[in-house]
Amino acid sequence: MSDPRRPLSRNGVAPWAGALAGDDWPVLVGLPAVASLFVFAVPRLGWWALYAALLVYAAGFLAFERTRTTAAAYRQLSDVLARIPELSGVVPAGHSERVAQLAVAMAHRLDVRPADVTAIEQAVRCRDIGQVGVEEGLHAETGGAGGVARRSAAIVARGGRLAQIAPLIAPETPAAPAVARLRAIVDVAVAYETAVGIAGWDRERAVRSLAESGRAEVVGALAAVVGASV
Amino acid sequence: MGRRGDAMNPLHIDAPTARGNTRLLLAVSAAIALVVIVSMDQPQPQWSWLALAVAYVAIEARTPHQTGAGWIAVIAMGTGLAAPGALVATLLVAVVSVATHLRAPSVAGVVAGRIVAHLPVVAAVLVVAGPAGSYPSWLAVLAGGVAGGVAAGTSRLVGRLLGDPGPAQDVSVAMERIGLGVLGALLGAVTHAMGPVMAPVSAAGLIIASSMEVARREVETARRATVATLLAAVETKDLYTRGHSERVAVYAGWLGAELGISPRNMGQVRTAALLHDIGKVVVPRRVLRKRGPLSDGERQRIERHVSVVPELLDGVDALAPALPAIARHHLHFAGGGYVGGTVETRWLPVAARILAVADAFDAMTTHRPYRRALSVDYAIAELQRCAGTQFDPEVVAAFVRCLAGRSLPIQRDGFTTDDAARREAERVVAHV
Repeated sequence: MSDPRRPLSRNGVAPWAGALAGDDWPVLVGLPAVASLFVFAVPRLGWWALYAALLVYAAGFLAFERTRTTAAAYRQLSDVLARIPELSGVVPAGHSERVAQLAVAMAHRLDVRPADVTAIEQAVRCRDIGQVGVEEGLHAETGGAGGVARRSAAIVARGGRLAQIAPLIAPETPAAPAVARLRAIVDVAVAYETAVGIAGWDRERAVRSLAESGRAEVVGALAAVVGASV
Repeated sequence: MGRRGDAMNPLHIDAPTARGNTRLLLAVSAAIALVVIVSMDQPQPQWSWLALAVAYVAIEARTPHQTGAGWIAVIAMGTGLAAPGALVATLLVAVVSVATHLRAPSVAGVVAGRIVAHLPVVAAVLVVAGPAGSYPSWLAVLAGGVAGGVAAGTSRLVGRLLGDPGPAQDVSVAMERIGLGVLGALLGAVTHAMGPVMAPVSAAGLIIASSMEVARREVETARRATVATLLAAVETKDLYTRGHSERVAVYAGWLGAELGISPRNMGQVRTAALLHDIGKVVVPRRVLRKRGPLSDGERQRIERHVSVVPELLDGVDALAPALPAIARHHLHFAGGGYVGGTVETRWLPVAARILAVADAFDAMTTHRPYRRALSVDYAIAELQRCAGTQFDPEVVAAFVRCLAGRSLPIQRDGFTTDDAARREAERVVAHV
């Protein structure tokens, strides 16, 4: 499990470096900008200008901490949603983690933007939660795999900002091409891991089978990641 | 979001609002820094007040339902020391604030709350800005703090009058708002000393400061979303458990009030009550719904709904305070019962004692797969019989007092469908 105290750090990069490289760069530019402007006020106001600047910085720091807490909370929620089916025994232990790693690697390969990579990772983790309502022998009755995905999406839809990943989970939902591409990454990663990790297929057979279903770009990325030929 | 926005951000994965505000900050501060530097020795442009008003409105419009308008108005109060133009900005912000909340779930409550929250601030602006420039900076700072405190207190009072206490209205929030009020006045003093050209800089500082308020609400939203999502997962597994959890939360709320639990701890008690059976998501439905007596193996699987909790909720910071109660709610007052994982059994938190009574009462007074609902009188007698052994006698006595004269949220089929009870349950879920 990722360290919730460092939700913005990825791949061992320090949080501040991650922020510099990611979406937080305006913060790092904006705060010094405010500081430099307050410098102009110091000759006229003396310590008052410093107090004002410090208060702004304190508020900004608190806002950052809270933003990190929020990001960690959604990450932790997706972790729990991944854990429930595994503890229930409806999917093998470690399944969601393996699929998540695979999907993230594919997304990087396809140059998906960082925010969407996070969305893909969380969607994969939450994708099996709908399984908890399915008992042995009831799978067809409850709508099969599509029913599970729909239930998963319905559960995720209650999850505040996590609801934004529901389109990556819900099947048969009309989606913009960009969303459909992300959903394809999720679907292909799940299908591959299910075939290889659960059904025991070999890599080549799984990739060939997926290639027949279309989505050549995504399957190509999968083949490159797992080292199989299409 | 438009087509271009979709292409840029196909999933609508919005960056946290705090970051959004910071982007706005960058735009404002970068543009205005130029203006400040260029016009440092020039006559102060009057239009800079218009820029300030636009910045205020932009901030407010960006954060519907998460407004920091009160603090924006406080800052306007401070800047009111320097020019009456800030009054226009303040009133504009108040109007926009109300307008942006018209689509909120509880329109009347939100609009009334916002109007009343603005009144003392607007009044303060009128008072302070009257003899503009005649007050020293320390008085402006003091006035800002007082106005922030008044606004926080008024907000809470209105919430209570409307039966909607709002999120985390505690001392730390009030202190934060007082601090923001002080900051507002301080920025106002800076603007006053430096002239209107400094107003956009104050606005930039404000954007950073208001992002603190916005980020706090985001944290609360995430915490509630965690509870709501896990409840949805439970509901998928077993609808009875969902209704049961809501009723237990209602009873726990009554008990908490009767026992004088602090508002901060009440949130934890309610969260624990709503999620006390979260472990049932890993128990097979056929075991949960079995009509006949349970075998030893099935009993162990039922008991797993407690033992699995520490592993299930491991690392979820938002639920950490509620975890001890969830893991111990089947532990008996005088020893015995069963607990979650390897948790310490000698310590039985008050929340767990409350849950034990509320849980047992609801289990007895609703239909179960293996028996019909028992009468309320029987359930009370049973609680009293087990007081001192299974249940804390003080909690049982408090519960009996709670029940007097109250209608119970019980629907005998096991669901919370009574309108009043449902509303109360929904309120509980909304304000964990």
